Amino acid sequence: MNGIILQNLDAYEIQQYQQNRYPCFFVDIIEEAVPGKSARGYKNFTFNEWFFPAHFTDEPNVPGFIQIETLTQVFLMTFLTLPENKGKKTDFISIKNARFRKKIVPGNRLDIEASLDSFRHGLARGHAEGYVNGEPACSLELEVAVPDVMTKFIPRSGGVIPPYKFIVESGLSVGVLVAGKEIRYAA
Amino acid sequence: MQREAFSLNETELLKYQPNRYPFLLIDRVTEVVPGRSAKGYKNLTNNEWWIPVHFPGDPNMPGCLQVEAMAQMLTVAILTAPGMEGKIVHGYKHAGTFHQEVRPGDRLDMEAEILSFRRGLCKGIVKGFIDGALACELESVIIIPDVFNQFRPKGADNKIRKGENSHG
Repeated sequence: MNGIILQNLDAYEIQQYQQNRYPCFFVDIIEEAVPGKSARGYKNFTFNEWFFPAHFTDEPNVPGFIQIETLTQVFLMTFLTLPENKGKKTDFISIKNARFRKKIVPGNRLDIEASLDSFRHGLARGHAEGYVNGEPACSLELEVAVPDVMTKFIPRSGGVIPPYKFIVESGLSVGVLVAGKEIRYAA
Repeated sequence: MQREAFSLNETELLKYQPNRYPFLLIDRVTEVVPGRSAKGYKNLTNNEWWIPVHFPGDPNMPGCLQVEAMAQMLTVAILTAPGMEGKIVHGYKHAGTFHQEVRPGDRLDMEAEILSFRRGLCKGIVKGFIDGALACELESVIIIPDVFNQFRPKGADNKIRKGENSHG
């Protein structure tokens, strides 16, 4: 986007871009990040991590939610590397089609490739794939928000949040009703 | 003493190695010849307990833990011998040399070789490599109290206690 490609970011440099910290920091090296486009990196798994004694005692393997978080943290580097987003916090909006194809165990290295499909109004859409020894291990489609940016685009009336009601259809909230106007979430 | 070489995956390793989280500092044993040698590796990652404190902004593996990781690889070479699995091991004497920093994202490959193993006393050397370059070395003497105590003269005091401490 702006012609800069970042290479071989280590722990310190990655933490300048994202706010995840131990014990919820699940990326080791970003081999290459093209701001606004893609990121490639990896995480090593070792016995010395807090979830292995519990998942499971006699058969250690990486829990699915850790795989999701690892894929996501590499994905974050596709848009947090844009100068205007550097160091901002992020929120999950949705996760789709999470697939876990391989058991990942201590001693494995998870190589991750993430691509950004769109970034508008503080909402990033994209997908990430993980590989162990070159074989597909897990994949994911995501939507992640940067609240700092997104709140600038929320309509406001004099700085006060207007009264609103949730629209509920068959038990699910599908949008909000503000000043007689229906605003539905994107499908 | 010549035996066939084999490898240990993550579940088999737990059978032979008594160390557990947060002090199990090897991940995989790729080749072990019981009573002679062991090769394997530890993965380094940002999700380890020393990362936030050693050091903030510049994480690297503490030297004492490199010594521990190498000593654990040496013990695997002994603990895979018949009748030894899961036994407690104590460090007796370690001499370490550190050639370069070991950082998250690295893989520390280790090669342990036993020089002598008699009466529960084992001498060995271990070398650690990152991407093929020498990172750390260890000359070590370790004791297996269960075996060692059988050879102590009767009535000797200060028996090496077993099972109460992890080895260092």
